[in-house]
Amino acid sequence: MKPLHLILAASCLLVSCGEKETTTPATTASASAPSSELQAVFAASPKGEAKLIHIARTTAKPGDEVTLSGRVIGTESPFVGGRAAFTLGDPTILKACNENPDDKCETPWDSCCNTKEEKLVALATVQVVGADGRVLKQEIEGVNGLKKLGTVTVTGKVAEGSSPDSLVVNATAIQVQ
Amino acid sequence: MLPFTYAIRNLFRSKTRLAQTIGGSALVVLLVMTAVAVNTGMKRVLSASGSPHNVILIGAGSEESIQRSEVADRTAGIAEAGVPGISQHLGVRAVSSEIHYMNYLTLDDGRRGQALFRGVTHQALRVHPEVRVIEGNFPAAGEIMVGELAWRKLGMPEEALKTGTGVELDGQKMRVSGIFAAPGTVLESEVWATLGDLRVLAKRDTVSCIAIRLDNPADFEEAELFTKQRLDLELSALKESDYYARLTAFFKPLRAMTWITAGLIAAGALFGGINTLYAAFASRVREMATLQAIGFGKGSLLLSLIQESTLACLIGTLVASVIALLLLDGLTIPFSIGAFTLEISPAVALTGIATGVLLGLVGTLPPAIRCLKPALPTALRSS
Repeated sequence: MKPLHLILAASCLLVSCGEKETTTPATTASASAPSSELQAVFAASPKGEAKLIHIARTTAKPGDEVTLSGRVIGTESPFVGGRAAFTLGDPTILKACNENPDDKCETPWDSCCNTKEEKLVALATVQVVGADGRVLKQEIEGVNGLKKLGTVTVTGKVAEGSSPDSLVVNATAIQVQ
Repeated sequence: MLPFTYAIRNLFRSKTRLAQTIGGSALVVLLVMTAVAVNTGMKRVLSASGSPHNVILIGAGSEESIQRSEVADRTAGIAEAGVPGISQHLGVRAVSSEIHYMNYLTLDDGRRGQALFRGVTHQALRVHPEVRVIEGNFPAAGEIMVGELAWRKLGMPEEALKTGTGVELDGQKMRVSGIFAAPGTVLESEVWATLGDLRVLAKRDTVSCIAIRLDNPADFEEAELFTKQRLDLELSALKESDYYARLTAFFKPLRAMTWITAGLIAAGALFGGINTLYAAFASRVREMATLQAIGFGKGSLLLSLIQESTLACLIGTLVASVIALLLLDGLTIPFSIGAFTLEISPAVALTGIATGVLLGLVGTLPPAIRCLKPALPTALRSS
């Protein structure tokens, strides 16, 4: 037997001792068909003229109806896993980093090129609530083509507990463009 | 078929060669057993440290390091009210504000070592129920409570951190109030102080994280939703188990190094062993040819040579197993975020035995085949 064969055999032994990786498939899209409540929100059309988030947030009060336009952007994971909620960013302030020249950012939806202050004024949370007032326990990513960096127009009521520092909208209509 | 006693008798023909084989195989088996014990020990302690029930709320962008994270102090109260599914006991919710702080601890005699300090309130015991105060008291202001293995992480003798001992942290005199256990987790290597003391010593007006214990791990999404609904708090929610899983991945190269080191030394020992056997078997060509001439087949002779060598390797394995049990079992190894204990488990012992058997087989085959290869007339005339 030649030394090469021995080296190969020894390598096989070492390789066989390595642990097996257990991977959990990442959930990137809606795992099941959207519920009728969620479908109804996507079927409805937004009302009125869309406002920019950084302007709307200063005047919106809980219970007001608002229409916002923006992009799914602003955090490393703009969609909440297992819940019908996502962050909507003001496109006049928040940029996808890969749209800058020579920037090959792999997660452009996290707006890492913007400052914390810019994110604070330019972000809103959009959620779809059920009849019980709780956010639907369903993935919204992938429904009707809703995806990261997608442009969306949303109509909804400003949620209880929402404030100018943290605008939360209970969506009644979502239109993906 | 040659009798088994033939192989045993041949073992003792050259005592030097036997000692070399036993020593070499013992070294390789011991190294492999150490590598397996280190790998499993580190993985075990990191995976046991993160509870799937616990969620850590840390500053957005600081997911890689809790120590760098900055979370507003008021967040604990807001999260307590805003996250459904938090464990409750006697009406108190399991939410703990914590500061994680790496610094040096100095003993009165001047010895110093680096440790991870965790600034906590009594609420920490609700979030980390595995923690048990086994001696003394939970720390009050000006006191610290040390984990059962903190002495190892600090590189000090165990008795140096007895309850009542005076220590110094950042120039501040403190006293050890007690010792806690958190079996099988990195928490046991930590030093706990009050949140107030660490806030002053670390010169910060924020905390590192808010740890929350949930009744149902599936409610993690509620915590994640909370961070999105309160964007003004600039939070990120992490499962504690995921945080430690990331640390496990971070230490993967270190664990790989133990394998590579063991592999390289094993390869060296294997080739050295093969070399010795080539020389040993070369002098037995005529003996093998004689046995063939009186009727033993090449297969029987090969089997006998393998038996002989495997026996020597298994004696080495036995020696290595005894050394491992006496010297390695229960040994505490420090690493950057804590310490873990080596355990010579049945799996580790079986890996050692398998290594010994493989050494015997792989190391014998090439020289044995070469020894039996020459044609009978040529072999009988060899010197």
